[in-house]
Amino acid sequence: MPFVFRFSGLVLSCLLLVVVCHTPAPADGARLSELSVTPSEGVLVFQATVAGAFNEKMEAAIKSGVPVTFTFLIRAARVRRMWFDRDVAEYRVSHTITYDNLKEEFTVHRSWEGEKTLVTKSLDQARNAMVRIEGLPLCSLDDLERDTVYRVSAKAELDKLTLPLYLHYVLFFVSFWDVETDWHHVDFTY
Amino acid sequence: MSGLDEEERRRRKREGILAIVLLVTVAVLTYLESRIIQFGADIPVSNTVLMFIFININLLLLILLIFLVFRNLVKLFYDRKQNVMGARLRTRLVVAFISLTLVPAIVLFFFSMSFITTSIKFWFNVPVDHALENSLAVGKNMYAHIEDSNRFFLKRAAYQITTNNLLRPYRTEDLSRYIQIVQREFHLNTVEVYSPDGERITYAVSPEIEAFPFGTVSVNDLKKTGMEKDTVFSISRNLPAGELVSSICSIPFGQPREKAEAFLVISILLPPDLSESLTAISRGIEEYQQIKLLKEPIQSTYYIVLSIVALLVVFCAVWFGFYIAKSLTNPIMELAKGLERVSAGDLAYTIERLADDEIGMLVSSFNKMTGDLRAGRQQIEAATQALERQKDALEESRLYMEIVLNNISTGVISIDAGGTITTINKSARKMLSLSHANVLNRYYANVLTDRYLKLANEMIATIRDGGQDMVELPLRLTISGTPRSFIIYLNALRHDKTGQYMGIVMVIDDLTELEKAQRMAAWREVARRIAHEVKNPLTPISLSAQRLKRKFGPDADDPVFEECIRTILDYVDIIRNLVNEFAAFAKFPSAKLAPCDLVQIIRETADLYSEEDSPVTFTIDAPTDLPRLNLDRQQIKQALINLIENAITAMEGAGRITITVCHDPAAMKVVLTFADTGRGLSEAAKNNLFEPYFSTKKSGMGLGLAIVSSIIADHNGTISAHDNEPRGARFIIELPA
Repeated sequence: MPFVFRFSGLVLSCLLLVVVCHTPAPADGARLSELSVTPSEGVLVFQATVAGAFNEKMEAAIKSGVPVTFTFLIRAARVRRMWFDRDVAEYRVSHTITYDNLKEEFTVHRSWEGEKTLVTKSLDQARNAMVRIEGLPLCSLDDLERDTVYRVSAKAELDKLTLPLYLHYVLFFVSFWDVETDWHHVDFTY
Repeated sequence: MSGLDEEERRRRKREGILAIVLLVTVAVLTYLESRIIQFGADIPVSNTVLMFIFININLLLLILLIFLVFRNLVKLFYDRKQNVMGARLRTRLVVAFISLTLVPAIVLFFFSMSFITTSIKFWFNVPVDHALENSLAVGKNMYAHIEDSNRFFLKRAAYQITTNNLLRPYRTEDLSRYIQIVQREFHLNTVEVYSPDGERITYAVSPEIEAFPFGTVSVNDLKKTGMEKDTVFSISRNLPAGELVSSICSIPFGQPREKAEAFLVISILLPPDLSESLTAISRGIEEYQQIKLLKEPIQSTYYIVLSIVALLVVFCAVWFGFYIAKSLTNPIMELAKGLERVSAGDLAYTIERLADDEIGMLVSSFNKMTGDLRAGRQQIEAATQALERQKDALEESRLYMEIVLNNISTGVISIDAGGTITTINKSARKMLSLSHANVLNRYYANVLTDRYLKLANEMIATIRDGGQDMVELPLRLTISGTPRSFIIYLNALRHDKTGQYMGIVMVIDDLTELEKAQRMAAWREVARRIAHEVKNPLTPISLSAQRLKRKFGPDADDPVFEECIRTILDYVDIIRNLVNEFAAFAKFPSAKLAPCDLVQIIRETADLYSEEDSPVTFTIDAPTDLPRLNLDRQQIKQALINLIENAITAMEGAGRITITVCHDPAAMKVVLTFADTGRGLSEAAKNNLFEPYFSTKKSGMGLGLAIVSSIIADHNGTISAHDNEPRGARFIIELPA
């Protein structure tokens, strides 16, 4: 009888283990690079690039008309040794790419650029626009204190695609990509 | 019954533990799923929670089902190995259910998979692909054609505008006129001219869209370039009248946008239905391609769902098999257990009836059977106790009867209806010198021989068949060489009610001593009377003879006279002696017992005959510690004298007389053996030796041994005569000590 219980417990543990071990795969090498902040014309300007974000499946999905959105989370905070960091600025910006198969052109809209969109027939051009943030004003330099260490953290993640025919409810475990970078930090002293 | 309560408690405990485990698992799974699955911020929270709940329930149910089924399977396998009762039946039922379910489920599964694969392939087949691609190509070609056409017109118009300097501020009217001509001549829907900063300078529209405001082209669009720095850039604007496909170029044609002097925009209106069709084609292809991307995941999902459903069906079948098997085997096991308990003697065991079917009827029948058995056993126990008591009483009665029979002086022998000797008491065995083993439970004809058997058969026939219930039979037998006289009473045993012959009981009385005593008394009386009658005339005869002798003796010269007188006197003396002996026998005085030393008496008596050079030698062998016996000294001496006299006579005056005395303390008797080396005793002599007037001598009255027998009898002893070895006679006297 104890053998029965032991075996049953083992089976149950295996099943749970299978579930437990299903953790999100690493983001296939997606990472933030060229992360920098630069004071320019009275504002702190942020710049970053997501490397290794695009793969073949993603490109195929884009060409099939699936809109893809990258979301960038950017946070600037004042570093304090014995206490929590004080947030100075926090942004959430998104880059969306869509493809018109009739006109064979990509449209990239970057939320921080307002109504401006890039329409191009070049995938490379569209991809570059998607993965880069340049010239994003984080905060005014007046909001910063001199001789103070600040940290700018950024992270990029790809929003889950919305599949047609509400298949995302059924195929919730289907993920073409799990692009989510780690938090990257850059510290500077103003 | 208490086993079931225990089982119930254990089951509830298990269920409680299972519920707690499930709750914990739900919490853990929910947390894990929240990490794995992100539905996105645009889906309402309630739907998310609902999805979590559904997923969790499905997952948990599946895990639970798999767990329970495997657990039961393992338990079944384990029970089978241990030969637990009911395991084989359960295995058979479960295997049957699995087989019944598995085969169609597998067939259905593979058929469904094949069907799904084929269907999906059919949906995404090449003709569909080609058709959609071709439709898209038509749309693309149409837009390309429009763009090419516009390019042609843009080039010409831009050239004309540049060549004719129509962009000069003072030539605006000419410009307007020109573009109207261009619009009419080339059948264009709109022709617009924009300044470098995006302000529309002039435009011309066709009557179709005149009524619909179509706005202006934005500066951004004006300044966009196409692929590979194409000089013409096209945009679309949707109007109620249709889709306006506009192509933009810089003036002069081919000039980079930042250096353009102006922008020229030519538009063609696509009818709404055509526009919609093109849009639909585009959207359709987009959706098709998206679904095509998901072809494999959808296929996998279908396979997974199908597999899960098939597994669910199989597991449910297994579970159902277990349930049915359990519902069948549990009562059967209870019955088997009950039968074991009943055969071990526990008739108080009952089984709870849980079902109302044939198994329940079987259980009820079992309970009734055990109840009846219990009642029967109680009755049997009561009857057994009563029988035991009766048996004890009978045994007691039998023992009492046995003791009584073994202690009476009368011999009792019983023979059953078949002739088997069933009882013989101690007295009968002693009387007839028989042993228990030789006689008991043997057929009487195997025990008796010759004339005795013939006599017995006659007696038994008389009683059994003759209707006589009692026969009296005097019998003389020689027992161990000693003649005995018996009186035998044969009584028929008949059943009280039916009168059926059941056997015979023989009552035997030994009359030997009684007859001896009677004969002795009779002889004594005869001797007394004869002595008296004969003695009386002797005195006158003797006196007369003496008188004659005195009177005529001196005068008679004839010697005959003297001789006759002498003869008369001699024979009168002889007769007187004989009569005196008779008288002595007749009125023998009773013994006066006093403690005496028997050995001393023997020696004194032997000394009377132990003269020097006597031809008769005496050997006396006696213990030195012989206890003193209650004897009449004189009578014992007389008895010994009589024996010695007889021995001397038998030895013809010479021989050896051996007297042996031994004490038997256990039997409380002293045995005196008197043996001579005479001529011995014949069988006839042995029978009548101690009778009065029996003598083997030529002379003598034959009263010597009769007197010895009488003396020994007065001392409560016995005397018997036997042959001596190598020769002679041996007398054994037993006296109480």
